[in-house]
Amino acid sequence: MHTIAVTRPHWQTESDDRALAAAARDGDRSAYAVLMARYRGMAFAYSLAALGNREEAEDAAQDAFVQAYAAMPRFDPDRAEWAAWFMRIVRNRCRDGLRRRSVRRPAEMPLEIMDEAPGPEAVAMADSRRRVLMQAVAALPEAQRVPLLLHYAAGKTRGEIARALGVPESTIIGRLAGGLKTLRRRFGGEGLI
Amino acid sequence: MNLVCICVRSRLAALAASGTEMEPTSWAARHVAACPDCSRERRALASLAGGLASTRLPEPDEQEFAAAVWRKIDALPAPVHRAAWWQSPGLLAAAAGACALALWMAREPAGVGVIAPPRAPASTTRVGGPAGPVASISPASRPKADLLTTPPAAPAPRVRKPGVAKERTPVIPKLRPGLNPAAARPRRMLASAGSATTGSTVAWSDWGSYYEQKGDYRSAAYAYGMAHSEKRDPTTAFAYGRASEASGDLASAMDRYAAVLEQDGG
Ligand SMILES: [Zn+2]
Repeated sequence: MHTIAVTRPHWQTESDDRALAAAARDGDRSAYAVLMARYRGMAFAYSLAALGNREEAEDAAQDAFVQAYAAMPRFDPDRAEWAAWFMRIVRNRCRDGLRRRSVRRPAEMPLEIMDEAPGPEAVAMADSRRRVLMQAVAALPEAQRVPLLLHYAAGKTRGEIARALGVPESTIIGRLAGGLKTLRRRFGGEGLI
Repeated sequence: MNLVCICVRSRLAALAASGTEMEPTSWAARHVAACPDCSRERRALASLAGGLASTRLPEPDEQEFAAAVWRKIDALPAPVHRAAWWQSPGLLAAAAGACALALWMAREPAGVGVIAPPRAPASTTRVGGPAGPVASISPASRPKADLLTTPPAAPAPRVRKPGVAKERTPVIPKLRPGLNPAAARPRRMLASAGSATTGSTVAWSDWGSYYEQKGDYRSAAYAYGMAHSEKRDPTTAFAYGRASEASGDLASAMDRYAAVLEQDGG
């Protein structure tokens, strides 16, 4: 049964991750629900970019929230940032998922990363061309593929991606540039939009 | 395509990735305006970025996702509340025994604690480091459960060979054993074996190329910088600039590119 705080919880006024994490650690499930709503998108987008399969990604993101919840008593909000701590759990869960697969070659990754209902901009690009572009993206090394998908396809900022991956923002810019160059070499890229 | 085009292409990808525009009066912008190839490259990169941005990653349903997480959380086994160790007679006796053993061992000569029979030194297993005070137990007397639950001992510290330069440490420790480029590409690496300045079998430029492929541009820039200090040629200077730029150190990158252009005469 979910715990509903009768008095106004302090994280509603402070509204920061640290207060939410501290409340969740003390057993406040509604605080954890807010954290979940806040980081569900990033956890799922990362998992999908890393694993390339919607079902596996959903499982991985859910499992990460479950693992984080179980580990909350060991989390110290004064010593670590919740987002960084949680995203480390997500990355480890995805790494386990990849390890469990017998085939790890990115070229053979399932290509279920496209939305079934593309937006109006995407309609302008031929579906077959979009498919080939996504195949080229799926064949990229993980270090380039994940930032590219998180930034362009999931709309995350470079800073958000840097925090999620635990690397400096300059590294993300370098990986994005490397990914664009590789795609340009393999795919071309002219006349897409 | 000349060297200037190569420099500009490298900048174009970095600018597209960082979402910034070229300074219109910069030499690179003037070159792009005048060079049809670089101009086409810029349009292609912008088109590629636009094409990627027009795809959307699907998102899971918020309600279903949260419900599934709470279901999994509620299915977690309840934490086992163990009785405090002093409430268990067996554990209390074991603790008393351990204290007695510790007191007895404290009576031994300082530095060496040996549980195995002293007549069978050949069969003892060393559990400490390679040198210094060591506690040894015989394999037979060592509890099997301990062998299963104790993580393997840390590898013995490497003995530093005389003459190995101290400055190698910032780059080498990041390399994981399974990804050793020397193992992956032995022929190319051995070509530079015995480099007098590095004392390494792997050339700095190869380290640079390795780290660049891994996306660790900061280490790549460091390695190319070392390579450039050994061999001042435009290719290494350009690689140094490219890695510096990718790592976000634009000031160093511009210095390197300027040096390349000066050497190239362009
Ligand atoms: Zn040009």
